This record gives sequence, structure tokens and C-alpha cells, in this order.
Amino acid sequence: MKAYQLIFLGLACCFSQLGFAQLTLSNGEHVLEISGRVSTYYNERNLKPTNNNRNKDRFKLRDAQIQLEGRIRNDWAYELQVDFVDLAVAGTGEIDPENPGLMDAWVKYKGLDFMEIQAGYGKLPYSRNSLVPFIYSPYWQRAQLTRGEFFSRRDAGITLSTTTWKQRIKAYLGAYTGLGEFTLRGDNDATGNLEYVSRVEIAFPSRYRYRDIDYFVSPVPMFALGVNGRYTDRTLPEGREFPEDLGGRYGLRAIDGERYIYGFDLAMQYKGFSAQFEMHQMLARPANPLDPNFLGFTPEQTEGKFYAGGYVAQANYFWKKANSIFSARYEEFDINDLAPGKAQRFSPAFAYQFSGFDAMLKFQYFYIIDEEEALDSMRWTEQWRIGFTLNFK
Amino acid sequence: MKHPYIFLTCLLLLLTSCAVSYDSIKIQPYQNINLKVSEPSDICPNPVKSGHFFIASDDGYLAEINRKGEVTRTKELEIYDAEAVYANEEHVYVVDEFSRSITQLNHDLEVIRTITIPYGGGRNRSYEAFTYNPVKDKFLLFTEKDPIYLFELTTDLKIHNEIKMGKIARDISAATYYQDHLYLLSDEDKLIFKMNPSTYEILQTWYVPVINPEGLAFDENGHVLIVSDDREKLYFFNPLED
Repeated sequence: MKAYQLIFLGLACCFSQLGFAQLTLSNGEHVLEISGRVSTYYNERNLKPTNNNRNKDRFKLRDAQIQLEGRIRNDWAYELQVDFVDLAVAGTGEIDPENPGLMDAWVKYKGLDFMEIQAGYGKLPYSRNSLVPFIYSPYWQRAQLTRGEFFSRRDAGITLSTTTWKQRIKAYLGAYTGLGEFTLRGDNDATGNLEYVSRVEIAFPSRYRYRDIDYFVSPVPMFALGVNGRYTDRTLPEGREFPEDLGGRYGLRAIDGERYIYGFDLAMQYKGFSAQFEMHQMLARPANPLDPNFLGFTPEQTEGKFYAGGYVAQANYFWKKANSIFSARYEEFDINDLAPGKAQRFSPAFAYQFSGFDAMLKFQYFYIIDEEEALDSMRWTEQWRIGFTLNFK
Repeated sequence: MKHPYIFLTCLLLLLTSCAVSYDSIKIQPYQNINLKVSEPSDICPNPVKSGHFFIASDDGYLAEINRKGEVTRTKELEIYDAEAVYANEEHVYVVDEFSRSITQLNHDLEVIRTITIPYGGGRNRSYEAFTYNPVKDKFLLFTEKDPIYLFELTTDLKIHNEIKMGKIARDISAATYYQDHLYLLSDEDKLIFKMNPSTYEILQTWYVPVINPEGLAFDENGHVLIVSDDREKLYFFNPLED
């Protein structure tokens, strides 16, 4: 047995005995809660025969987060959340959209009866999978479609939100910089335009929180449906360019031209079983006929547009008596419909809860069924991660 | 199998640290009514007005309802997240999770006093249940979870004793005393616990198939009343049988 296996076993025995301190400061009107999270895992990849780069086969510190969450009466709320690991990486200029370093820095006014107003930097109201807090996930990584390479997950801007029908209907409308997580670098791009995002969701028979796992073992079937869309026109003035890497890994996060993204998501849960399905499609109309996203096709062939998108399906079971979560996820996505092929990935996960979601041993397996080789050739075929996560809140 | 130690670890964990579970009796509601009280979080009988109940709202107010669920009185309070309510013949007590306070009112719903009992636990994991235990002549104040504490308070609302309840449940959402026994409700486990009021030993449990059960009370005939916060409904159950 290797050393790290012994470490995991040791941690497993220790955590089942842990209690968790929390820290809340209050003067009766203003409550400030301090919480945080540390998670680490061991990763191993099976590489393709043509590759010998095993830089991922080792331990990784994934999260080292501190969160300050406050409420002032029922009028104001604020949140500041940072991840020191990702902050250090962001200092080198690289920003992982799933883990951007600064995770939340916003203020919300709740004093109006009909609406809440949030301003600052935080999650965008788009994609249910993106909105589920990661601390409630048995996975080590979100689905590729929703982890920030197709569309940004966070941005600076303003969000208006409202709920009705006993919180079963929620609606969001917002305007943002359109740079996503790259807004943290400072300046906006040369377009001067915003991105607009909206989302409406309805749940039955009661409000449905942003959770994938039926941790409360619902005694009656519960459902939620969400539809969302976003639009931005980022046509660059002549002679101007986007900041470096703004387009992200697939070049989709910022298009020199118009971009629409629309999608829907479904969620259900009953007696510990839960399932989610969501689909997104992007319609992009690059302004420049020579835009690299056209992949060299002529305007007559492309009609001045291309599509990207895909879907994610996930099924989960929470086995309460064994403190265990079993989950499996399948996703299919097309980075650009002008290129042949689609990517398909399968990923099961298991989590053992020592103390609810606050302390978990998590295992995730990744398997690439197919890839869109012309645009995103992978150097590995499968990988797995095992590690622990601890929330102090 | 390429990595058998992973599965060995998982199996070991499953075998060594399973969750607490109970042999519970499942009960079904025979009636439910929609409440016109937003986010109801607890319920207790009004002992001076037959057939009436007080309900605490997460929105920071107290409501009185009749058995049909009609609101007969409301009282806005200077609190933000009322999570528990208890009434005796003299007073009504409302517990605010946000400010960790107990507001004492008379039956005209005039505030007599408010006291704060500091607690450093999570903002939303603080005081959730409150009742009176005549066997010990103490008020009982429970924290919701992580961990579940029971604070025994004197009749003057001073802490007399604190008890860590261990892994009795994943959370506690309500407490009430009825016919010589203490009853607790767990929202996350959807269980009613019948307990010995002297030793806090669990005597019996019932499973309640209700979404987000936050409040528990008994009426004059022993029917069980449970309020669902998310559904804003009041459920009626037949008297409990062991």
C-alpha cells in the first residue's frame, strides 16, 4: 500500500470523529459569518501513447477558500469569497473560469418588497449546473459544458431578481461587462458593450434549491424547470483586439461579433434519487469573415454564423443510511458545428460524508468516449481523482 | 480491478461509520390547509384561546390563526428570522435565529422584554426550537445543527445547563411538550421524536412525509399539527400511537 493510500485511510478514520466549529459575529442587527473550505485530491491520468507528460499525476490543492457572508437586518446582504490557491494562479495571468480566485464580491439590497438588487462580482444567473454551489457536489470538476469554457460563470455587473408563488417562481435579469471572470484583470475590452443575461425558473410542488443531491430525501416528487438566455455584441472597432486569452480555451467566451446563448434545465428529486438535464446552444455571428471561428470556410458556406453547445445529463442517489452519494454524468458537446464530430464524456462519482457536505471523501472518474479532435485533441483518455474536502462553516 | 484500494477504502467507510437510523412509524396527514403566513417556521397552541395557534414567520412576525388556518391577529416584531414560538397562560415567547434573541410578549401581543443569548454557531444553524419542560421547570432552547445543543433555561431565561445532543438527528426544527413527554421534530430527517423529559432518552420516532417540516404542535384532542415552511401549509395528523 502506497503512502497516500494510508493517508486517505487515516483521514477517513479521523474525520468521522470531527465536530465543526463555526464563527458568527452579531450585534443583533448585523450578522457576519466567517466560513471557509479546504480540499485536496490525488489525480492520475491514463495518457494516449503519443504523450508522456504526467504533470497531473500527483496531489493538488484544489481549494483554500475564505468566505465572509453578512446580513444587515433584512435590508442588506453581502458576500466576499476568495480562493487563495486560484488567486496565486491568477497572479500569473492565467484565470481558470471554474476557479477564478475571487469568487464573490457583491452587495445585495433586499429592502424592496418586489425585487432584490445585487451589484458587484459574482455568479451569473445562467445554467442551473453552474448555479449549484460546488460544496454540494460529489464531483471534483463540473461538466465541461458548464464549467466556464463555453460561457462565463461569473462577471461584474448588476442583477435584479424577484420571486413569487411561495418562491416557486424566480426571475433574474442582469447586465454585466461581458468579460466574465477576465474582468478581474482590470480594464474592459474595446467594444464598450455589455452582456445581458436573464433566467426564469419554476418549481413544483415547492421551492427547489440549487442542489443536485436529494440530501433531505424528498417525500414527494419535486421538479424544477429553468430557461435562460444571454446576449452580447462584442464587435470590435477597427484595429482593436480583445485582451489576451479572453476567448478562452475554445475561443468561444468572447466573439468579435454578436453572440446569443440560450438553454434550459430540468431537475427532479424523490426519495434520495435526483436527476438533472440541461442543454445550451450558442449562435455566434462573427463580424469578420476571416474570424478563426469560421475555420477557413467562406461566408457563402457559413452564412456568417456558427453554432456551439451541447447537453449534460446527471443522475444521483443519496444513500442516507450509508452517508454516501452515488452519481453519474454524461455530456455531449460541439465546440463548433463547422468542424466534424462531437465530444462525449462520461464521469461517475462517489462521495462519502463524514459530516454532511462539510466533510467528504470524494472520488471521480473521467472517461472520454469521443472528442472533437480537430478543435480539442486531448492528451489523456481517462483519469480519476480521490481526495477530501472540508468546509468550516 | 486496477485500483482496488479505492473501493476498499469506500467499503471500510461504509461499514464503520453509518448514519444513525431509527425504526420509525410512518404517519400520513388526513388534512392540509394553505396558510396565509409567509415562511411559517413554528407553531404552538394559544392556551388562553381555544382552537387558536401562534405561528412564527421567517419574515420576522408573529401570527395567530384559528383551526381553519385563518389569520386572526399578527404582530410585527423587531426581529428578522423568527424560528420558534411557545406560549403559556401569561406570555408568548418568540425566538429569533438571526439575532439570537427571545422576545417575550403578553397575550395582547405587547412586547414585554427582549433578551439575547449569544451563540457563535453558523448564522443559519442557530436557535430553532423552544418550549417549556414542566418536569424540570426549565425552558428548552435547541440549536438547529452542527452541533445540536440543548440549552436548559431558568424560567427567567438564564442559561442553567447546556447539553450536546450528539447525532440524535441531522437537525432539530421544533420542540413541544405534550402529555408528560417532550417531542422534537427534525426537518432534514422528517422525524418526530418522543423523549423522556427527564433524561432526554428517545422513546419512539415517527416519519412524517412532509416537505420542510418546521413546526410541531398538538391540539386539544391530541392531533398532530405540522407546518411546512417551503409549502406554507399546515398538516393535520391523527394522534400518535406507539
